[in-house]
Amino acid sequence: MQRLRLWLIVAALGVLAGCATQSVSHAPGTELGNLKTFYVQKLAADQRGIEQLFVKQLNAWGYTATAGAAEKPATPVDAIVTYQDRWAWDITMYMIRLNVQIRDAQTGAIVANAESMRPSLERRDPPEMVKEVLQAALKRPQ
Amino acid sequence: MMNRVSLLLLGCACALVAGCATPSRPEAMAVTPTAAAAHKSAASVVLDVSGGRPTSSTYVPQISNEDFTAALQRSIEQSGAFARVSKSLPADFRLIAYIGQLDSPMMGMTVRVDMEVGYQLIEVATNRPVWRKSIKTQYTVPSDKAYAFVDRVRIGNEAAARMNIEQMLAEVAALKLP
Repeated sequence: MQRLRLWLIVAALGVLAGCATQSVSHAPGTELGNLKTFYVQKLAADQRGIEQLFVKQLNAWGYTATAGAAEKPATPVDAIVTYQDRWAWDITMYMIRLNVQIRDAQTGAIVANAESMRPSLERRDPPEMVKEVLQAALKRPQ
Repeated sequence: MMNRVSLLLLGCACALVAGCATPSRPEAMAVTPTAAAAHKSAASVVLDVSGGRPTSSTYVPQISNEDFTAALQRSIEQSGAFARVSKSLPADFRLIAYIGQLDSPMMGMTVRVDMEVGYQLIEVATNRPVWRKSIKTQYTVPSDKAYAFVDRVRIGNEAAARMNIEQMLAEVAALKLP
């Protein structure tokens, strides 16, 4: 009976805790070094202003970044950034997953894609999650 | 009190055992055997898939490079879009497929899957791209389609991938390759 209880506790922790995972991929032949200007396309469902976190981070690294709700920017850029944020509740709301895609501004094709998944016990603030996925997608040093 | 705790633990344990994610199946991602290509090329093609991810049992179902390659191969063979799918070069064409996006919710009853694949068809002899396109597909799985959430995600992945391959084959057929 005690063993069963112990197994159940371990299983419950497995469900509640999980592990943080990061993944990244780049389209074959992608040259990221040429990207200097970015446009972050605001996700229609985003009410938290995540697009501004992307702009702030990109600008902090020396890129020129702007954001907007339109699909294309008013002025030409090198790349377009799209993202999807997922949130969950555990005492407080937290960002559980963030996906980002870097797109060729001319064709709209995805050239890089990164994801950060952080369950409750490994949660981080949204700006850190944004930095994490951009770092991976743009192959920036840690 | 202890009984309630035990019940909660048991519930979590059941969720862990029952809710394991399973990978998307190539046969379910392939176009149907009756979907013949509008134009059948006599050329051979080699497939080059990237951007996919293996499925972890504790996360939502994904599509691996190997499974998407198998689905593409099966679809090309069943539709007759190309005469032969080669495992490696030499071949007349190289079809590059980059899975740039496969997005699904973390939980919920109705599951919407968004998929985007960047395709490039390269003529091997000249190393020249003859066709290039990013294809987006979307599929929504109703809540009554499957009991487990992870199964609904897998069904959504498979349908979005199948629709994506269908669109790609239609576009390639329109090229009327020799």
